[in-house]
Amino acid sequence: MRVTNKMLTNTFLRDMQTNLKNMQTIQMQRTTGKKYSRPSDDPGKVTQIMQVYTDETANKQYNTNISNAISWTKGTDTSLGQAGNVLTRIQELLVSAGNAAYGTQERKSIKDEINQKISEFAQDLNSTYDGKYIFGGTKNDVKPLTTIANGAASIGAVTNLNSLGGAGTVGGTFTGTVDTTYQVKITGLDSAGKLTNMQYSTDGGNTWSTDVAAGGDIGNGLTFNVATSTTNKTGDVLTFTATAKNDNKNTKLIYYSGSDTNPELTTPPSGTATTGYNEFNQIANKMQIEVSQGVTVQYNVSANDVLRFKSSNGTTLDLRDVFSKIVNHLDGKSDDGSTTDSTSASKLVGDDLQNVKDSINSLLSIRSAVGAKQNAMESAENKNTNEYDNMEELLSKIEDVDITEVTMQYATLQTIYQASLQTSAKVLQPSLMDYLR
Amino acid sequence: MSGLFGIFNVGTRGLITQQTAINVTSHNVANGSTEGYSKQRATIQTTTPYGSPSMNSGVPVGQLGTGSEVSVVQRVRDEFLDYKIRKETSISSQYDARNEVLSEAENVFNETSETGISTSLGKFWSAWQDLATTGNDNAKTTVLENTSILANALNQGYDKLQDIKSNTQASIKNMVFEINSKLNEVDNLNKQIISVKVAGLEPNDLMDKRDNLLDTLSSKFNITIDKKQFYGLDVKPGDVPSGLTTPNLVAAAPNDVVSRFSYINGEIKATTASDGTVTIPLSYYEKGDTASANTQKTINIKFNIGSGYSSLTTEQKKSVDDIIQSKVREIDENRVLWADKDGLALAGADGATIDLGSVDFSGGFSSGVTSLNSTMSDLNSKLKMFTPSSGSLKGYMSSQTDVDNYINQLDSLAKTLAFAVNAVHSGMTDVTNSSGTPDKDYMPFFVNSDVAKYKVDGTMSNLDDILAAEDNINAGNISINKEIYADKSKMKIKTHDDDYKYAADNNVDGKDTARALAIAQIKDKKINIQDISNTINSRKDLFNAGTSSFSDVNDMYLTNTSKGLTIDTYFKDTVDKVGSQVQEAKKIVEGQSTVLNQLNESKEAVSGVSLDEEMANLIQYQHAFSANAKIISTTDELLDVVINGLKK
Repeated sequence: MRVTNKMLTNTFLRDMQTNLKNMQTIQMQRTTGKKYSRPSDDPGKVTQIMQVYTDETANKQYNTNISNAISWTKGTDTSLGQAGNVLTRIQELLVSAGNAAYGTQERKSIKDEINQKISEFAQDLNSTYDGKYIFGGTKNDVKPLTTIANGAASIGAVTNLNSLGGAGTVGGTFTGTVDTTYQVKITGLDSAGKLTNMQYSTDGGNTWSTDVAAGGDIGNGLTFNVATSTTNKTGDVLTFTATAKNDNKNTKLIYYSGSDTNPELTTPPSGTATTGYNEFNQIANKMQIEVSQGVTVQYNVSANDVLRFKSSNGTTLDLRDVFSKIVNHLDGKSDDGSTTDSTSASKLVGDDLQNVKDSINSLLSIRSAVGAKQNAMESAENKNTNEYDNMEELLSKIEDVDITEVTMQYATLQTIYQASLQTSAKVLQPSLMDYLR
Repeated sequence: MSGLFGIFNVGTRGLITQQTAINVTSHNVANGSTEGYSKQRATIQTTTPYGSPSMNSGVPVGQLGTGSEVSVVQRVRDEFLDYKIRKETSISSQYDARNEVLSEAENVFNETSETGISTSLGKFWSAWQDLATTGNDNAKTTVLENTSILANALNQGYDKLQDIKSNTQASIKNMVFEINSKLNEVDNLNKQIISVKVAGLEPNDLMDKRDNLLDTLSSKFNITIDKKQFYGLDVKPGDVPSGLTTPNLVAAAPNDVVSRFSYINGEIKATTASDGTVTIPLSYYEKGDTASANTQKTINIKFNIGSGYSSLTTEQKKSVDDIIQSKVREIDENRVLWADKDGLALAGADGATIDLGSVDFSGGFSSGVTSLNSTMSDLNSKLKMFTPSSGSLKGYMSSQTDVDNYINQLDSLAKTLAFAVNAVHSGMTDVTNSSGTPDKDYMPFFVNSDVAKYKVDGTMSNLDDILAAEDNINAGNISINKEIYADKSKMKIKTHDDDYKYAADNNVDGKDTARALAIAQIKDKKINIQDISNTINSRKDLFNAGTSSFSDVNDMYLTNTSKGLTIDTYFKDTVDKVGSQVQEAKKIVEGQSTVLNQLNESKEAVSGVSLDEEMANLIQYQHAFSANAKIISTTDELLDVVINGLKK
């Protein structure tokens, strides 16, 4: 075959291009540390890399989810521990209340402490994590539990200073905020002794109101009237004491009460139409997270789970009722506090103590369930981390370059490149003309 | 009997011969690096010897030579190599063009980077997971931002692919123009060559030039060359539609009719009138020349599918439509028409209508389809599209099909995403549900940005249109609902949100996030994405029998379908396909370039100029020249003896 100058040049140029291209590839691999930069470099491997990246992103997300849930269950555990301490203290107090030597005064101080403990219990269950109430279910933006002072406004007996006069009657509900002693003075009577006008004072008779008609409004939501009697005389004064609501009364635990317009959520509803049904359901709701592909775990304990428990004889009880009974019994009253009950002291060490014990047991079993969940989460986290490491390893195997190998390749290529330049420089230069004169 | 003057003449001839040879050598050296130049050789032969036996003269010592002359200056060329090189060039250019277009498309799917569609998709799902876990406003913002990033990534990918397609079509247009002007040049050279040859000379350099042009042409499409007398050539494409009477692009005979190509521009669309008449108007530039408005001509395609069409089922109508659409797509991707030498389409005069008659569906669906198919192939023979089987024209045409496929796959991805997320977001398997509560999807998550309009306060102003346009969501117009983007509290992420028109109406669920979790879980759900644009064209179709459904009473959690793919897997398959096609093109380009290099090497070995060889020749001719001069000067001396020496 003839060999012409152009052939030599072309061959040199082509081979140099090939060398440079190879060097570029190796250089790219060296500088990025990755074997592939475009899908066409190796479609199979590149999609495999994509798959691993996708899995890693998901895995990282699952890890975040799990850590979140672990912190949440830790918070739950702490709060439940504190709530358990409260219940144990109540149990101790109840045992001591059974002491036969204890009188009313001792019981009162026990009751005061128990009232405190009930508030504390509510606070424990109102703990938050990341701005959310742990026991609030999906209604976690407001406290799931709250306490109110449980005492209705009441009106004392009316005393007529003129013992012969007609009896006074008080109507309406007292809305005042402090206990008030009312004095009502008759200022007008008709011939039959029927009340026509009266005045009232709330400061012990220092100042009197203007005339009010019989049965008229005497302030703070109350009305007053005096029975018709011929013995009524103007200037007669009748007194009574109105006791304000919430004053020095027992603490009552209730579910969330958002505002005055929202009804108190006192009972778990039975039908769908019950007031507060939605709110209650939200508190009782379970929350789920995904911890690995397709595996969801529900991780929260709701206030409802804690409050409702099965007693040792199999009935479902509510801690709110149990607390309410205990304080009523300590007052020496019946279960609902309406009447005096002579057996209340014995109930304290009987049913009440048993109920508190049962609730402690129930709380413990919830705590152990939470602990188990936390363990499960931690092992899920371990698994998750292991998976991540495996994926990183796989990814590294697929896409990372072996620096040593690539460096060696680069060195070889450099030698070849230099050799090709040198050879070509020698071969291309001379021609016959160099030797012609 | 030759005399001294005879010798003198021999010397003179020798001088002229060597001078001519040196001339050829210098021409070779001068063109040592000229592209397509073939080395030339002066063929030296002896002139007719003196003295042949005849009636009145004997031949005393045999014939006496009368010197040399250059009989012909010929180029050295192997035409079989030319044939092979052109064939391989066509194939090589085809894959070069494919590689060029597809590599550009591959950039859209550059998925090893951190910014690709699959990364955006991953972040989108993660954001929903985060929202399901924390339920707070920051997480909602993250979801919305990631959604809009994902939608933008899809939009950009779609736009880029469309750009690539229109750039490719522009390349075809320029190529048509270039081919036509190259053909004219070949035609001119053809004529010159013939006239030179007729005059008895060798048109070496003109033929080199013509061969060069033919090489260039063969890179555009595969050509066939017929040799005619006086070095004339007939050139025609390797692929000629049947029934075409004037396939020659260049003809040796001066009066033969030749053809050219014209380029169809603009959008190509089939419209069906109410009476079933389908029209496809085509407007084309004569010879691809867009410089003047006069060169723009039109031609129309018309046929009727009216009879019996209305009684077809929706699915059958769709497959009829698909057949017509695929034809439109074929024209759209090809765009090159056979034309006469002035560029007027061979299919008919300006404004002419190609009437293909009517297709009758009244005899049943299958017979109608058979007749439609034959009508479509009838169209092929009547419209006379230029469909080369290799060359860069073919490369550009075929890569458009692939780019169209990539666009379709992005579209399917966008549609699946929109249908599935909207369905879970609203808990509704259709955009409307006349018998249920709510009666329609009042807050779709993904919307069609071509249709969606918003009021000044950011709320949607044409909800019903938006819902109707959900079927037309594609990668180019998928967008997050701006109303949700403006007010994140409108996201439906709670369990019972499916029972209410708006999330704000839900007074049941509080801070629940179960629906967000359900959306996050779409990531791993197997959905029949492969049927999108086939049997699945709307959210409703996605939930048809045998496809996806909800597994719970609150219409949140999607079920897996038996033959479905996850959205991620589907996208990976797409990337795999793009990568493989680019890889194939690259490999073939590499392989072809090796083959071509070898062929060019062989050609160079035959036709190339070797300076050493030329130098050696030069010296040889130089010495021969000197020797001839010596003969003349010697003859001069002899003559001097005769003229001046004999008689003093």
